[in-house]
Amino acid sequence: MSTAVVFTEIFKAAMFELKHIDKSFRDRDDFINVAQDLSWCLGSGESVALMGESGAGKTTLMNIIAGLDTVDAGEVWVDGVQIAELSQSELTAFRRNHIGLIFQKFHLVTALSAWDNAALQARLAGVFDQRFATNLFEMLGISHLAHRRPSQLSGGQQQRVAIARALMHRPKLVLADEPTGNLDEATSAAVIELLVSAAADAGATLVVVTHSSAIASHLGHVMRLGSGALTPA
Amino acid sequence: MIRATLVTLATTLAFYRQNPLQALFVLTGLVLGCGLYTAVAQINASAKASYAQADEILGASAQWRITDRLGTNVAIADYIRLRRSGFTNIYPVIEKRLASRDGALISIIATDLLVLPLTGAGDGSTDDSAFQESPFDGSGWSRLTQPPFEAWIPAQTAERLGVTEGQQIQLREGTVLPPAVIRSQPQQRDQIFIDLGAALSIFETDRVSYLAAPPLTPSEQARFVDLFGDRLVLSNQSEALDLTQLTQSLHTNLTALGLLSFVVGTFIVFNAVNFSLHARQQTLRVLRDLGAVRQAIVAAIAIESLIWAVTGALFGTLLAQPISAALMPAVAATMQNIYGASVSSLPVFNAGLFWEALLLALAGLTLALVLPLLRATVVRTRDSSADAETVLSQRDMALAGAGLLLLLIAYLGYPLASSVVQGFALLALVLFAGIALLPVAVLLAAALGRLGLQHHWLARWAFADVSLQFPHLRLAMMALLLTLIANIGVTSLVGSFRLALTDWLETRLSADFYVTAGVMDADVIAGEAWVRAAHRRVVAETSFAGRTMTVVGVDVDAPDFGPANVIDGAPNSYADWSAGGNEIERVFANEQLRYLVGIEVGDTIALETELGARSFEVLGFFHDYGNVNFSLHLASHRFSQLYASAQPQGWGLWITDDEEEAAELGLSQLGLEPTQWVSQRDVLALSLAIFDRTFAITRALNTLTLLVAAVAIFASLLAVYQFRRPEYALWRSLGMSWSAFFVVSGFPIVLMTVVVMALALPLGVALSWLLIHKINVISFGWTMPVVVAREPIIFLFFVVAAVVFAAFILASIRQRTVVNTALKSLAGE
Ligand SMILES: Nc1ncnc2c1ncn2[C@@H]1O[C@H](COP(=O)(O)OP(=O)(O)OP(=O)(O)O)[C@@H](O)[C@H]1O
Ligand SMILES: [Mg+2]
Repeated sequence: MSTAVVFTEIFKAAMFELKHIDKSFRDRDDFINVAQDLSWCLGSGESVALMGESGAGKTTLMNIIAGLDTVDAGEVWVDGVQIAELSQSELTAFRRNHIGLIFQKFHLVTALSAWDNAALQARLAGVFDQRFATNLFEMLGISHLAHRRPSQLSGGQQQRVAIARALMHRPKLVLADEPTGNLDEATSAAVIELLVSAAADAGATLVVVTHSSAIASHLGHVMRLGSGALTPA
Repeated sequence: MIRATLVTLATTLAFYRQNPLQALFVLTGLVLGCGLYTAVAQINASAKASYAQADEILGASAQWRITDRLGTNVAIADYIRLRRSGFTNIYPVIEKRLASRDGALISIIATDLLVLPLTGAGDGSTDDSAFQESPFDGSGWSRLTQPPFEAWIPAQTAERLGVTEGQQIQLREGTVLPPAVIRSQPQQRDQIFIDLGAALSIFETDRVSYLAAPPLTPSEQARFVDLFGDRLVLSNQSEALDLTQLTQSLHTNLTALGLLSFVVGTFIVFNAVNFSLHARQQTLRVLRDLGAVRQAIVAAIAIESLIWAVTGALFGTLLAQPISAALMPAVAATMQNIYGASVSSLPVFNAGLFWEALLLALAGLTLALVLPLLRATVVRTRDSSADAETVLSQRDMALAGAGLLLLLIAYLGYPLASSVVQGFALLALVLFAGIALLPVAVLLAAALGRLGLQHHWLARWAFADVSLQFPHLRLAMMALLLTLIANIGVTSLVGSFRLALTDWLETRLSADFYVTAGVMDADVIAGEAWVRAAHRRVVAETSFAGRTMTVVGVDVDAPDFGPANVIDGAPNSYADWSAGGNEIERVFANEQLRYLVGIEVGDTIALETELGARSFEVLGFFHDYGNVNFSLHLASHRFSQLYASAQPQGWGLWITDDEEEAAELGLSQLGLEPTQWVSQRDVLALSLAIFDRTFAITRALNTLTLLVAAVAIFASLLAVYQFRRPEYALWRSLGMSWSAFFVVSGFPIVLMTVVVMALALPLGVALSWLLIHKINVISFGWTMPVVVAREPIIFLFFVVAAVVFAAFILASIRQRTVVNTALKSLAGE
């Protein structure tokens, strides 16, 4: 067996693996080090909270995992595929099929109804399943809102639609960047609970960036990013 | 205050340094608008200068001719007497058409170069540069005017005759022309030019064909009649067809398109400025919070506008140079067809045009600035994501209601409008109605599409996206709509003109030759082998309702007037007309009588005849394009009784096929001077050529104005992309492929363009209908069938599709990188 195949075998259970990555920004005189020889491996089906000070590089790290940003050095493997080796369109297809994204500001498509918004990525991927969608809506408690437009929904409702969208195509990996950053405490707790259980139901690996330890407590374990390094908290 | 203004100015201008593209849009709008306007104005000025120049260069088109009362040739002695009595700007012309020894037809023209007004002093309307290429300048003066003289032969004529440099052409009767010099003077056509002195000595004569004169004032005319009326005749050189009207319509067309291009340019500026102000709203607010007084902000923006206007006018005037230089050859070719004289195809630059452009730019900018400025200071914030919710906003509905109301007013006002101003008001109503109806038309189409394709999610999305993009593209689409309506209107107008004119010319000028002198003998003509048919034309003039009324005696079997030419006559009206009436005469009347006096079929007109007052019953009408007089067609057998002493005006001769050369020679042999007959075929071909040129220019300008509209769309698309960048980044983050991305973001453009086309078609046709049936009738009293030709409109639509597509592609090119960048900041947005 070649080493490559051995590696693939070993990491089969790994959802993603960052290997010795470097990432820094240079802005005039400022030199910002987001990741320095950073390695991180997350197993399939796990859920984790990513914390760290503002400006530590949490969003950058998520972007790197989602293939939205590149690293200066090191390798990024997601679901057994090295991201750097994918072409732009392969990367897009990869994201479409395997990754679900949730943003702080929900980012729903204003022209579409809640239902169409939630169905969007699944339809793009060609895996839309009516029954699964109905169940998901029921579980998230937004069935009665399906026909509404984003502007007719509250923030918590919008985020639940965004969660539905991120799960509808049954991704292996869900990345949520401060999903409750725009919500009040009570709503935040409800939404994060729904997210965690829905992701677990769908069998998806979940990474949630948050500043709140209350939110972090809903997740399997917590990692802290600081000074270019990642440490378990 | 000054310091505050400067600080404010520096702050607001900094925006353009960060967004050089914005600066480019504002500039593009101004430059294109000013440039196109200036180009068209320049073409107009050059063309007018060319008319004047052509008028001055050769007598062929001088407005007045002086001929001898007895013969047709004028004695040189008379010419000298005229000059001595103060008529110094007339000049003698000899025109001859002769056969060479090998039977080839030769045209010779001779004039006195010394008196030819070539200095360009003219009427002051022309620029010196137009005269740099004066036809008879340079060397060879003395060789031309002193024995053995020279015969200047255009290259293609020399080729036709097989003459080489230095050779002498021998004529049939033995005369030998001076040595040939192959020298194509632009004004020469197919004619051989020799000096007047040479011509007089070669042809051993002391008489010239005619004297050409520039337009004479009434007092000059009176003096002429006083002094020379007994021997000489002064006649207005009115040709078989009055071409001034045609050229006038060409210029009106050009001016209209020029103004239109400016309006569209203003739309672009408006858009760009609107966008740049919107983007700077924050800056302006901060400035105000920091204590900048409102006056300082307004002053800063005014200074900014001034800078823009000057730059725009400057570059616009520069841009106009290549544009008009590119279009000028077409105009020059038109001139060539009108005068047989090619004129300089270089546009005339006129410094005054720069100031005109600057003035227009300032006016446009002010308009473009004031509205957004008001909005920027009055309206605080606008949540751009909130507006797209309801399918139709109340404002749109109100606008559509206003549009329908405008159309209703136009419809009700149509029969009432009776002045040109009111006619133009109707045109404006149609244009405004189009603008007002556009938003609802677009949003309704989107809503219907969404309903109809309810089951396809991508279609549902694409249709829904229309209502999100439309607010940004609204103005640009309105500009496109305006341009398209006007273009369809003008295209149909020109097309209808051409068709009507062709019909009219082909029947009215169906005779191959028109012999103007009544000296021919009917029997002699009938005996010529090359004559197929010959019909005499007799005209009597009276007046009716304050205008000249010409009664024309028409041979009932003449090929140029038949049942097909009759409008609104009873089925047997032509037979009745041919038979002629007894108590009441039967006539066909030109439309002018209908539109200007209100005569209808069956009405009778009382006119004085040589047999006393008679009644004429109108059996029907005929189109009489461009005639300023009333006219009746009366069967010639009746005419000869009613107007027995009317002088025959001339003959229409129809020639046996392909016998044109024989006919020309035959006419010469019958003793006719070249000035006494006109080849109708030439006139026909000429007139049609003029129209095709007009059409070519219209088409070129159509395309240019559409391009300007496309720039507006391009600018707006960039604005859309900028406003919606986070949303587009989201689409991509969900894994949307670029192809799907461009389908969804591009579809609204397609739909809007289609709606614009669908609206523009009926409104454009309505516009041409108004132009032909209202404005033309009001101002000239004649009309023509409105012809909506499919081909030029399809061409227009094709151009629109192409330019919009190009704008979309251009705007999208940057999108891929920009959206990719935006993807990374999606989380922070
Ligand atoms: N394109 C860029 N160019 C330069 N610096 C950048 C760029 N993107 C991010 N940074 C810098 O990198 C650092 C990490 O940014 P990132 O957005 O990942 O932080 P974060 O941990 O998500 O912060 P927050 O909790 O505030 O969202 C910041 O200091 C930021 O200024
Ligand atoms: Mg962040």
